[in-house]
Amino acid sequence: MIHVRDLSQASKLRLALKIGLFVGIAMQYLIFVGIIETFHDRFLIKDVISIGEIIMLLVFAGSGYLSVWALKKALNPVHEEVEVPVRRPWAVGSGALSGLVVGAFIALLVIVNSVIEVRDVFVSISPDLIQIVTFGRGETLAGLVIPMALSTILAAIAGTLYIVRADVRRTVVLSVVWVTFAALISDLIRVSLSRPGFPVFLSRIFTSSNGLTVVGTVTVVAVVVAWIVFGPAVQEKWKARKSTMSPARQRNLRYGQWSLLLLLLLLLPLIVGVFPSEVLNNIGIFIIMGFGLNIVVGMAGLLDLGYVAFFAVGAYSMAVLTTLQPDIGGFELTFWAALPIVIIITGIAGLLVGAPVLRMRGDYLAIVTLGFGEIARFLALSDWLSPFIGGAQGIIKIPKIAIGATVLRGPQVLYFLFLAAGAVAYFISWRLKDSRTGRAWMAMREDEKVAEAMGVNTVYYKLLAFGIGAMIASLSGALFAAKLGTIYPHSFSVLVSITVLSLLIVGGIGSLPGVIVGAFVLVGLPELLREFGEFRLLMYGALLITMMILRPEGILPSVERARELRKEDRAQDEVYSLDEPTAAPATPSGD
Amino acid sequence: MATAIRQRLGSGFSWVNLLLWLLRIGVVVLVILGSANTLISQKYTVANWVSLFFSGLAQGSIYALIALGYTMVYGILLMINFAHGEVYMAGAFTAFFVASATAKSGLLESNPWAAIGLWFLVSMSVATLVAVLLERIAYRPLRNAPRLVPLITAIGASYFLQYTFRGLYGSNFRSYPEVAILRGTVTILGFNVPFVQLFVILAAILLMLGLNAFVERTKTGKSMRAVAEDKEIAGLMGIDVNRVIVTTFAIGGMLAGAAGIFRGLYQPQGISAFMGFLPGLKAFTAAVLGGIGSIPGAMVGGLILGLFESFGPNLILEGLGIASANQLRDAIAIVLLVFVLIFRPQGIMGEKLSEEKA
Amino acid sequence: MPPIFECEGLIKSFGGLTAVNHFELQIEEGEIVSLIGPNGAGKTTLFNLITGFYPPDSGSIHSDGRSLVGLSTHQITQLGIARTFQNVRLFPNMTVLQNVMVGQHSRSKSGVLAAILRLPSFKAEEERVMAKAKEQLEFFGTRLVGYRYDQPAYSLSYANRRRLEIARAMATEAKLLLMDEPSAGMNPKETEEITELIGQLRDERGFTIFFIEHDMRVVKGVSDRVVAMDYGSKIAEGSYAAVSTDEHVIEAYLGRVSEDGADGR
Repeated sequence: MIHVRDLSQASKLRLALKIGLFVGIAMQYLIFVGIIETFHDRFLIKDVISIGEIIMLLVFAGSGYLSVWALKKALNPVHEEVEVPVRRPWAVGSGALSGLVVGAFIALLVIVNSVIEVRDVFVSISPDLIQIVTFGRGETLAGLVIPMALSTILAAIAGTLYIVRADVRRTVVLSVVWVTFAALISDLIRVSLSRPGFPVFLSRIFTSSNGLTVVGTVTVVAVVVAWIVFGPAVQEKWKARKSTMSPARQRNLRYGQWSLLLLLLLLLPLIVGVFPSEVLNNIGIFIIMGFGLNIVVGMAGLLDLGYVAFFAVGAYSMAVLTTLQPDIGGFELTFWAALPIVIIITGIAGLLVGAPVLRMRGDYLAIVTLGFGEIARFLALSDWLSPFIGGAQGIIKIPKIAIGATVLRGPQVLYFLFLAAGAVAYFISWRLKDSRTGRAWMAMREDEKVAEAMGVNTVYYKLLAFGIGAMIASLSGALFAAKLGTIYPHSFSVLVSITVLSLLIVGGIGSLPGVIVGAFVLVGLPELLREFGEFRLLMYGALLITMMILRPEGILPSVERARELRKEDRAQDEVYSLDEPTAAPATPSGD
Repeated sequence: MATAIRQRLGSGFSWVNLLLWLLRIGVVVLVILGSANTLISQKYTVANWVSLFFSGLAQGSIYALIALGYTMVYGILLMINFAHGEVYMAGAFTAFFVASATAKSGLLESNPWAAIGLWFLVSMSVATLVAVLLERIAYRPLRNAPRLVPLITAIGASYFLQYTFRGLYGSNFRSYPEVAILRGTVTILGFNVPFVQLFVILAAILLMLGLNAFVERTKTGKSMRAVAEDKEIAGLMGIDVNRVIVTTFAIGGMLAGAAGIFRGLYQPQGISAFMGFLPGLKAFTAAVLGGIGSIPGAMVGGLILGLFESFGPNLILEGLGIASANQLRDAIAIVLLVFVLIFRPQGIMGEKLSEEKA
Repeated sequence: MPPIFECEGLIKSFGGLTAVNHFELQIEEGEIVSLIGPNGAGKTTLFNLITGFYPPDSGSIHSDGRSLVGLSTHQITQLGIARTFQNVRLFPNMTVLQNVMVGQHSRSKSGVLAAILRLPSFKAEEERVMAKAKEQLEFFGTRLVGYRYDQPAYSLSYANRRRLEIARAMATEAKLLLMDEPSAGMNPKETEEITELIGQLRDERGFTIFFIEHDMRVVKGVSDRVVAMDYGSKIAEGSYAAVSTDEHVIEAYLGRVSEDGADGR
């Protein structure tokens, strides 16, 4: 006999209310911080719906989805063979209830704002915002009812969606995700499509100057639906064909794929055009730094928060050595002549920073390196050093990079330099990972004292990590200086360090593909969406917290780091893997 | 002989040690040279120095109050709550609106102490709330994670809070209203000292005495000390460890909130969402300087840091012929942090912790 | 020929507590010497002094006539002294094979450039290191070979972790192995196995062994010589029979026999 578990109606309602309350507060956060209003400036679908609005609608729907998810979890507290399903009326009902709460919060805001000037304190609560959150009705009865009604309906639909067939759910969710993504990069699509050689109407049909067009949206949805319907069959067929191939052909296929990828990388700037290439280059700066910091943090386990200092040393030494500004430097070298010197100088800077912090414990090391980064910036800004490095005015007239007599101009050409530098950094990291050096770093990261007892000279390997990390950052800095032609101290704030650290963590610490993915998400998206600018660090902060709590190994984790950061899981493994009764779980860190 | 020296220096005598020694000697020489130069040149009068002394002390007591939050949390969780500077910012920034409301409504003029009391109330409660939420949402799920994980989370929280408050209250710099009763100077031993500085110093000392009494006398204070000593054992003894941790964050938040008001009174201008980052870093310096984990250490560390920062640029840097030395005021505080962490991570008052702990 | 290990007048104190007090000992090549003593007698501290974890306050330590005082831990390992830890300390997130390959660190030398360029010398060395590592793991029969190579160390059972730790120490190609309570946490069967293993390490692999042990069956079963320690000093030395009946030793144990568990450090 199956024991049927059920919750009382009251507790089901309470659960829905609780979720509504949480999501409602989250919604208010988005409103008060200004995200909704800022993103209202940009359309998701031209003249139909703005990104700000879609965020609100998604939160409405999210409350319903979450409440049914929570209900299901409450009904199935432990994993059992027979799942207790959420019945349809309850799915609709608890979705609607939580949605109503979220909507009621908005109505409340509108009412409160009509009584007192909320804006005196919270700058985001402008009349415009009230228009947005009431979907254009303002402080009228309709303005109170519409958000509540919309929220209730959407949440109810989303709640139902949770219990319907999986492919329907996938279609809806994927459509929303891809439409949003396409809209976010619609500028990029537009620029890429509207170039000589392409028919003009192409870009007009799918994208507008502000978001996707209706046609574009429908196209994206159609592609998603087609993928859901036909995708599995196609994949199946492909797999079947692949398995019948001879090993030699499979290998050829793999080579073919790799060369295709390489070709794509080489042709990318031509395909995407000028502005996107500029974005790619900016991403490249961070990818290179990401590889460098990955050696220091990911492999050697030294949390360096002052990594920007090396980027700055690279950029400044390149600037000083090459600038044509009369009162600074006076070396006027070419980029290529200066590059080896820059790398050496920065490598030495890496050793100088590394040496004093050698004996420092992890968290202190983090703070001290943060301090070093800040000191570097203060010094760059100070009048004291301004005769040498320009002070607050920075250094101008850094010449463009030339190969022979050809001056490399424009982001589409510079792209190849970034690609080359990135490839070098990738290659170095990849080769070192699986070597005596890499093992020594990993051992040091896992347990410094034991590594030492196994013959690893930890002093040397720490310095080596700092030195190599710094040299890679100097590549990035040198290219940065040459690319801009001008550098200012404010380009080298601690935020650079935080960005690089964030992209490492989002991509997965220790994982090289993770660096690339992380940089595209964290640097690329904000570059494309100027509205992101203001909330960039807000997002980084939130990402760091959520990643550390929910997915410390990152999106594309490296195997070792995933193990290390999931310590709680490990403790469980220990419990299950003990075949001796007397064993005590040993903690590897500390002593 | 050589062996004896090596033995004294400990294992691994190397060029790194040599470098550290050179660094040490270099710093001492520079400090002495700079100070001597300045003093000989007699650029500043005694009155100048006295005024630097009191402003340093006032600034230092603000650092000390923030540092207490760092040190108490560290004592219990062995984690650096990097976002603590933002707790201070949250209090001060929020209370600004109350402050300007009291100024507008005339309460500040008619009943200044009540008005200021209200500021304190708001600032302290907001900071407490932020600190407690921070613990609950960001740190508690990571209680048993490897050490660097909560630190990374704390850094994330720090930026999250900065930009959240910028979003909430806007990016303009704000200024606290001026308080008439705190204007003017008091004459001490023939030197004029601004009253507001004295007020800040005395009020901060009062708060610290209160904290000391709380930790030493009350039951909660005793359980805090027990948890700091050994979380597990304290838990076995029936102490609700989670509650103690929340209390610790709350008290740290309260003190930071009070520090925020002092900041508003003492330097009314320049309240913004980013006001917490540097003071946070400096307060951490103060906590380390005094020996992290030690409550009296944080107090003394804060005062020393305030004085150092106040005297440093004029006394040391100018003597070395560095132009516009005051620009480097923040830099020398951080340099101090770096040196303390390199040469004396256990701080000036800290007991010698075991190698793993310090 | 100078002994493989020799220390004299070794003193180490922490604050007011003298953990090691005028300790002296000689170990000849090929010996198996066990170190016993009640908890807090300073045994692990002695190991930490030998391996350079702390510098001694005074006294001398020599191996093959070379002074170890003032050398850093990795240099001491290079000279041929390797150790295991009381509370098994592996590199938990590295694979079994990688753990042992780290042990070969001081017996290999390829650097950054060789690794980046994958020079022939690098490849040859890498192969040699891997073969060496596998050879050590094979010493433990089938327990740590095959699919185990690529498993993370944390996934191993407790006894296998201890074995892996020993394999890692063996991979350093040390002459003298210091083992800190190799049988701690093991069941009687495994303890017996460890006893046998210690003998094999010497007979088949030629290691000289100095180990701390609380389990008297192990001590009795394998030691050539037993050294008893209390309050940081040597209180008895000699055959198992002699030491186990020594009145100082009995007093040291009976006087403070009550507590069980970790050796304080």
